[in-house]
Amino acid sequence: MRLFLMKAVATALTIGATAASAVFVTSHLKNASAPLQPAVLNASTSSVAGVSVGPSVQPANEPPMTSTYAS
Amino acid sequence: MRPEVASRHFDAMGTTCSLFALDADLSWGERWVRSVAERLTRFSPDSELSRLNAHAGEWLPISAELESVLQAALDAHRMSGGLVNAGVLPSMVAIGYSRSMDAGRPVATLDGAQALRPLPEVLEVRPGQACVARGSGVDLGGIAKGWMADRLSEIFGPGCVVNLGGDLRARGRWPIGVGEATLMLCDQGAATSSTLKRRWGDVHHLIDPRTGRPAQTGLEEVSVVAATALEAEVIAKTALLLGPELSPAYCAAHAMAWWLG
Repeated sequence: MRLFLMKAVATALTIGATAASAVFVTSHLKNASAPLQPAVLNASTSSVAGVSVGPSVQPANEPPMTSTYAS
Repeated sequence: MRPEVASRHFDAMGTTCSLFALDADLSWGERWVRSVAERLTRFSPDSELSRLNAHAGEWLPISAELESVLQAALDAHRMSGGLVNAGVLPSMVAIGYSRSMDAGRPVATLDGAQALRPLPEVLEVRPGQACVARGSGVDLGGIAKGWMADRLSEIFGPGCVVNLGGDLRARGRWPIGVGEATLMLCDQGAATSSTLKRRWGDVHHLIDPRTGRPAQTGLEEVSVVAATALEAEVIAKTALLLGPELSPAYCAAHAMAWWLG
């Protein structure tokens, strides 16, 4: 009887830990600021004269020195 | 107040090149561009690249510069999932683009155009040696321009912009035109890929490796800012080949700024 009780408790603990892990992982993935969340489509981009600009590039307030163009 | 900037403009590689620097020998830079371009062009039968293509199937000794650009081409193939494929020479010949645009309009036939083999099956590079597979050929095109812009800017050091036909690299902070916008690039590169230039009739020079024919994806021009000129060149060409549906997400993941047209 005691052995059966110990097995039951161990099983219950295992199931509980699994369920708790699943809940934590699921809620973590739903967090938009989670580090593992792909930031592809939600990246903080702005638009400057039709150009999509990411956070590592700033608009300039002076005439261009030169330009990229098709050649 | 920006300190005085020296500039130099000249034609090379069938396009216009512009060099800007606070402290660098720009005439030496022009000679460097012309010298390296002579080795990497496919339009001169005497160039190092043409010799490699002419001896397909054989291992040939190559210069450090050609080895580095060929490795960059293999990297570009990996980065782009195979969409940027320098083993495009057979398709270029098929569309009639076998001589410089300066030598007159090509005559397009599209005979023999077929999907390209993956570049690692066509091009092998070892230290000081390279081999192109029989029946294939390499055209370095924009990869060479991006590589040269990066390399020359590294030689010049901080405080320069190297613009080789739109493939440019800025060292330091410089206002650069991208599409209709002016952006402050800081140790970054930019490039534009387009089907609107080097075009004759319905044919243009930008080959889709999936068909071996001029790309028709719904995009005509893409400009990109990235960490280097070479990276920008690869991302811009890949985005153009992906088309209007996939390219926004691709650019958001890989580019620092982008314009799709």
